[in-house]
Amino acid sequence: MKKTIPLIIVIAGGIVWLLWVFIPHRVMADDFYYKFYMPWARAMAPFAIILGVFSLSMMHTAKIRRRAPKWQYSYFFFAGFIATSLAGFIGGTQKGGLYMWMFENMAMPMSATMFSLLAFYMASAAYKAFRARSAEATVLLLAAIVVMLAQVPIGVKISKYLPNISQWILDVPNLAAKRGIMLGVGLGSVATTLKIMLGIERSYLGGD
Amino acid sequence: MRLSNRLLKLTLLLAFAVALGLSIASKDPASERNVVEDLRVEDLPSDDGSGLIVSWKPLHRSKRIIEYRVYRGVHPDTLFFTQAVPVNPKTGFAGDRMYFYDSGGDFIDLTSPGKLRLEKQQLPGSPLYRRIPRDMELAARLSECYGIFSAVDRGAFYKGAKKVYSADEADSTAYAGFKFKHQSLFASLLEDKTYYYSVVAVDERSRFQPHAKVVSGSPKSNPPEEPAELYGVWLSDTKELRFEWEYPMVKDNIMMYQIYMVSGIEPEAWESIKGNPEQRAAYLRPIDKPYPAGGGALPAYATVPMPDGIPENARFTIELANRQGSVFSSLATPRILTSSHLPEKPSFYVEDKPNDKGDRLCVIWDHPIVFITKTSSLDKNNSRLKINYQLNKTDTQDVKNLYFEFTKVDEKKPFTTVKEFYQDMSFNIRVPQGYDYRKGFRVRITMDGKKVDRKSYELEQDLRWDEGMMALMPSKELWRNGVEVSRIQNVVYRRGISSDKYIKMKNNTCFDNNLDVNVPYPATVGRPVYGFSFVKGNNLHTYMDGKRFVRKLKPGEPRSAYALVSPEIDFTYDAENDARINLNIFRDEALKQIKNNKRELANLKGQLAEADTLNPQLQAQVEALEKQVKLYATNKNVIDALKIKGQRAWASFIAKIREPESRQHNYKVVKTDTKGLFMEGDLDANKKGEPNFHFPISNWFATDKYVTLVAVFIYGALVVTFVTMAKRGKKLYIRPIAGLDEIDNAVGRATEMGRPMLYCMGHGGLSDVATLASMSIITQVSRKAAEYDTRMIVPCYDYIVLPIVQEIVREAHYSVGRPDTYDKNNIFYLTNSQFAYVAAVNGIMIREKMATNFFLGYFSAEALLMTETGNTVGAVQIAGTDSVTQIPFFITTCDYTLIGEELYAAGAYLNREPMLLGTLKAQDYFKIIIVFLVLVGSVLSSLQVMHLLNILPTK
Repeated sequence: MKKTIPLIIVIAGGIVWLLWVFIPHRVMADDFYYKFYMPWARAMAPFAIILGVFSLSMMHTAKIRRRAPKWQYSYFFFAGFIATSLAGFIGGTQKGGLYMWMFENMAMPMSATMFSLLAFYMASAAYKAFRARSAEATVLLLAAIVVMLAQVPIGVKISKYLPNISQWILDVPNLAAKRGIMLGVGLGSVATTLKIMLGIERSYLGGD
Repeated sequence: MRLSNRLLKLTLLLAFAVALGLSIASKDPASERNVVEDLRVEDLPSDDGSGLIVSWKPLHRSKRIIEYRVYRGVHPDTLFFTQAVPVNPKTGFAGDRMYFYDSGGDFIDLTSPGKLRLEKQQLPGSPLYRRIPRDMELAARLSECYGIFSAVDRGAFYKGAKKVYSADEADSTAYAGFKFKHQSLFASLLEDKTYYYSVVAVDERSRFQPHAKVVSGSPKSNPPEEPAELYGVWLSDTKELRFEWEYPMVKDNIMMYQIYMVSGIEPEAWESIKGNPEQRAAYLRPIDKPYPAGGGALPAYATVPMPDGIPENARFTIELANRQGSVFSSLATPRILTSSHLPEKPSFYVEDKPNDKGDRLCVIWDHPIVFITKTSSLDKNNSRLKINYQLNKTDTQDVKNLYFEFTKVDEKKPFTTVKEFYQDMSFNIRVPQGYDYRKGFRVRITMDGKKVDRKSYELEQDLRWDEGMMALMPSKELWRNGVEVSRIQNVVYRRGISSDKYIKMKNNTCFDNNLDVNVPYPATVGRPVYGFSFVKGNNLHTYMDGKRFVRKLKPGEPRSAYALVSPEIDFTYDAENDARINLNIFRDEALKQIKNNKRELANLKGQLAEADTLNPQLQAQVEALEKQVKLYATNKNVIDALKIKGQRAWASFIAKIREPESRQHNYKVVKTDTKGLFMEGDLDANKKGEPNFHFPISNWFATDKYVTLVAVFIYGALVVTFVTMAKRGKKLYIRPIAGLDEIDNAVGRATEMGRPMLYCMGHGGLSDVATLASMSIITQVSRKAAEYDTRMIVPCYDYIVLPIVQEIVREAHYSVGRPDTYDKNNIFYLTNSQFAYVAAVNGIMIREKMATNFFLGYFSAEALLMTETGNTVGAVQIAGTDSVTQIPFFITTCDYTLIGEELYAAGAYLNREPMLLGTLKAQDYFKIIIVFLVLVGSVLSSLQVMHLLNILPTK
């Protein structure tokens, strides 16, 4: 029963969504989607976030209580969580308030810092990828050199054909491989959906 | 690093001090109070007395004002927030004055506060309040100074209307009462009433500045503004005048127009006397009857037959009038032309848009229109040109091939013809050798398809050199079957089922061949509010027509507060009698009314029979009532309604009849040069000559998805076939996937090293298929981890995914008999901020010294940041994603990568469940079908056989 009812809900929901794709009628477009589904989806999200916050708090509380390694950092979680919540609930989330100030001057720069690290990580990953250890890696290296050179002015100076070759690499072999993967992904998505709808795949219910 | 308690406290204290310092430093020491100055209220000119202009001097941009909040009231002591005017705090407002046009607007709705609340940060004694609260007594008092209109939620109107009576003992009318939660109320300003205003500036720190000095103003009704232009054409062969004119900006209150001939005065002199009724009267000679306008129906063209011709040097003017007066336009001198100059009579039809929910129609007046939009040179020698074109057509118009014939300017024979069988909106041409392409080309465009062929329809354009663009560009002219049409506009009008006046919808250029018309389903029912009723103590109070009534509450009367609207609603249109029929939303009241009408008629007829002398007034009254009684007795919809028992069924039937009728329209297309040369299309009518009223149809099946449906069935059949085969014990071969084979070893490695594993599901939500696929993998991985007693940490990005993953891992521990090793704190929610998530995961990886990392799910820019960190801690990494852009990063930095669909297959691969393997096999076979279609499609398309390509969905 614990799994049967959720399974029935999922299968019924899957069938309704399948019908939604093929039936543009007002019953599906307005009555089902806007009047039924959207309010439910909106109502569900706040409960889930309470669960998430509760889980994170539990994890950090346990760390502090057990004096787990680096348990002191958990205080920062609580400090940040409480400060941000108070700023938001008391001062509001509009521009000019403390909450937005913290977001713009703390959260955003920290996010940007993490993102900027990507450039260095990319260089490191590129170094690993471009080592010509095999025939495939050599092809990859050559293609990368052509494409990279074509992006900068010196590429045209080296050869006027370089931009065209680069574009061809991007438009033909690269796009062909990408579309191949996307085709597989598309089919795989349908297969997974079908497995869920037919009740073959039940891992999301917990266990098999 | 191990921090002592003392050090920690010190750190926290330091952080607090820094935050406090920053907060103090960020405060503006010279934060003076910025009051809006020079606030003025003026009457909105040329309107019907329902608008005011509020203006003020904006504050300097250094004040960082983000919005100006306007407050309005009917008394200087109580002003309510009306609307905010946003400003860019960086640039400020560029002009000297800011203007706010107030013609009413929102009064009370669901977002209004529950009770009266003072505005924030105002000094004591401030008259400013937030929005008008949901307080019926206050609304009732304010309604004495506003016109109130209610938009009642459709469902509530038909099903939730409460029968309410006024406190006025003399008024026995049953009103439809609605609570605030069922409606949005809108207010309009009333003529000659005094309204008070103030404005508050709010800076970007949300600091409300003190309010401006309260000022007042009264809206006045004014004569209309002068029409922008009048154009006239004299058709000498048909002896008729044709006029077109432009209305002023405020036109809703214009009630009438009339055209006059003006003679004996020069245009300059006319300008000086046209505002003087006595002086202008001597020159005016009406040539047409006054045309009553209003209700949004304002025709902007007219034909006036003049069989006797017009005097030489005749000039014309148009008069626009409303309740307050009239204005005359400047004089127009007609162009003298013949009917051969008129545009072609528009031939149009209306069709339902396919595959929609039934809220769109399409008015079509021409074959598909194709035109060149730009050209660009493909090489340095300008020997090849890329031509971009646009094809305007409806969903149902089918164009098989397009033909573009390019001719040199001094030749008649085309030098090249391009056949566009696949219309991708561009093609290339080769410029003839030795020809200077800057001289330009003429392009003849033809097409073949459904209802159109190359012989009967052609379009022509010139391509000319444009110095500014440094390219050949299409000229403004467009020739349609040899006639230049670039100045012609196609104006679409429509009228409802019960009106004979057409309302203009849109002017369309000659490059459009159709107009999409949106006909929305009604979501609300709009009604003027007659009054408000509420109970105070044991008394019922009613405010209506500026009067207040109080009486004792009767037994059984509701105690709730209501806005009172008329229960009479336009029910149906009786075409036979050309009359609208109203019905009461309350069944018993409607029946009572019909009975009363009959009784009243009998009574009046009796009076008429008894009267000794002829009483025309009584006679007219009897005739009107007799007509009404007959209407209700003979109309089929009313007869059907009267058969209904029960209030709910009655209200539903009213909605069922009136709503579709309100969405039916008759359309008209007029071709015009907007300067007096126009031609109306014939009335869209059936064979009997009755006008066709069109309404959109809600479709039960999307016909453009037949192929998708067939594909789903084929795929479903393959799945069922292979699942059945697998169930019967047939061995299904699945190619080995190295990444999945390695899972056992990866878990074993973590066990041997005594270090934990990390399982990261990416930043997808539960609606991402990759997350669902990852869930099926985590089932197997967590089981292995539980078996080997290895700790597995799962930081979640999505809070909805968290409880599900916790349940999956808990189940896995139970299924292998190790419930004691399950710790739900190992599966936790981190954050749904992308880079904060990365920082946290990287921290966990480094602190916990992961032995194995799984990155399976949907990933974006965070993928490389995490896998590189995993690399540095020396973890074995198995990754998989369906995000094409992240696959290369995973391949580069991880030991094993599941590419695209392999991620989806992993659950079946690991589980080896026959049912799951069956779907995997079906997927492979379906892929073979797709590859076959791709190959056949490529060959056929190359041979210009487009049938296969056309039946496949493009999105």
